[in-house]
Amino acid sequence: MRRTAWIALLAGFLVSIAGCGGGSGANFAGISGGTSGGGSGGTGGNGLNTVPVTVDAGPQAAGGTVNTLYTTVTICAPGSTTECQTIDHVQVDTGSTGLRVLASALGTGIVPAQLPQATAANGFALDECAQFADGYSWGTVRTADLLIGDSTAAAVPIQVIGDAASGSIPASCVSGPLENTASALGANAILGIGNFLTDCGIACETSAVPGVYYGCPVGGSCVPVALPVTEQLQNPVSLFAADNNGVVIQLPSASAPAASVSGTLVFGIGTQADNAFPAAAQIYTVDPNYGTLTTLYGGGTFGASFIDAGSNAYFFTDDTIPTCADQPSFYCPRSTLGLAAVIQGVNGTSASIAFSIDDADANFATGFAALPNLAGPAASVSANAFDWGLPFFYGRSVYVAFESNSAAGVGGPWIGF
Amino acid sequence: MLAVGMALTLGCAPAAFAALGESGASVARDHAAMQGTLSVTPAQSFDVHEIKVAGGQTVREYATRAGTIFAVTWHGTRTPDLELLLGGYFGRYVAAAELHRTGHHLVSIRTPDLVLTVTRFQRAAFGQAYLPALMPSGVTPAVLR
Repeated sequence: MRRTAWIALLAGFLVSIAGCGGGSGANFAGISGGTSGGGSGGTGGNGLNTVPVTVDAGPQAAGGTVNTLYTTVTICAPGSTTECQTIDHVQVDTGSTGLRVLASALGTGIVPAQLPQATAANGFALDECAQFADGYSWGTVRTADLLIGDSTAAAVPIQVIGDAASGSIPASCVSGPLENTASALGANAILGIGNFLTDCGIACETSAVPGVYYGCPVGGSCVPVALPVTEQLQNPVSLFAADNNGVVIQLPSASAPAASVSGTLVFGIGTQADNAFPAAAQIYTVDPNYGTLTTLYGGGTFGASFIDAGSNAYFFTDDTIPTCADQPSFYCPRSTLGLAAVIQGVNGTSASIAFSIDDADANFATGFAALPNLAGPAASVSANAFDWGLPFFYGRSVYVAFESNSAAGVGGPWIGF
Repeated sequence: MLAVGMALTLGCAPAAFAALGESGASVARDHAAMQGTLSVTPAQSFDVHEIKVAGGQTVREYATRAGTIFAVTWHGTRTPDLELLLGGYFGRYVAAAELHRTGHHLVSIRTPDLVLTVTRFQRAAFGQAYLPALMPSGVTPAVLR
């Protein structure tokens, strides 16, 4: 963080000591009606709990993405079925929580101003910073009804990235390059349906954490604010009236690069015939604070590993595999490598996973979006990562169970396959 | 007392972020005593400066005996200021990040002179960067925590 941000951190800490913030507890899935803010029950169930998903080249402005899973989401002004816009190429991301939509993707069916902007406890307009590994996004927090497939979630706090109504980007938000366009984001929106119910959780309710939520006075500087979990960005699936304890991502196998791959996103685990947890599948619990688990590979233990539809490849440490001369973020082995690693949940459940990787340059040269053998390096320390990105999902049904929910008889958060 | 301690911690932190590849020996050591644990690993030829940031972040800077930072690691729920931490190597991270080819949760570079991974997945933010050429002899990346 910049120097001013450190000062802001201190200020925020002192403000939180003085006792701002607080509020109601988490909006647990399954509680109908809901409280003010935080969304409320919508519709769903009765077999209508799926939506198609596709790996393709992405929105035209993105210039051709790879291994990025997309779906379609309809965003409506709260309580309206006419003030709506359907957004295509919404990235399905199990590595984050909450819906984030580019202001530039709105404007035909509705404009951002038709979605009420949230306010912070200090009375100022609520803006949000989303920090990613490859940059950050900045925008307003607004309330919307969301329709995904046939399921709805009402009055959901969402982020509108690049909203003209947002304040000046505060220094404490800046983290790498700005991602306020479809080109940088690789999508028109991100549908975060990871293990957590809110994007920040109790840490942002109890203190004003820089780099997340901000109160922005008109004509003034945005200041970090504490925000009750019910008012934070919500996992939209957790707010459906039914089939809301997790999701299943089902993709067919891809044995070679392909222009597109189509599958299904199913809402709920063990709630309908189409989302029953198979007897042959196993449950791997993840760290309840971070969402990570463990991978054993090449004699090393990677204790902060994760299974993530929002990563574009397998990323792991192996100094015997050469990186590409023209792109040091990917591996270029001289021939296809057949590898194996063990995924182990916090609960100790484990399985050996066989996977193949090959030359990333050749993969990108196909011009195809689905690259099942794409891989790259990740540096290793004692608690670092083996990232099982989207290639892990080809040919699998991957179950993502939410925190504070029980699915298949086991309390979340967990991943199953 | 706590607030005063916090003020000392935060007041020192910016100056104590010696950047990767640069020498912050005297500055870092002066502030380490105020803000974190300075531990000297016996039988190894490096020092670890640990900075604990409010909110549960931990940043570690690995310095040679001469004071040159050859590695930085971090873990917690937020990414630290990488422009401060990576110094002259920040541009290499930005160049990789701007390609947006790896997704939003991990950016990694492995080159002979710089090995870097930035991870931001759900509620976890962690990573490391090290300079193989500056590692003291006998020291491998396995010592980084």
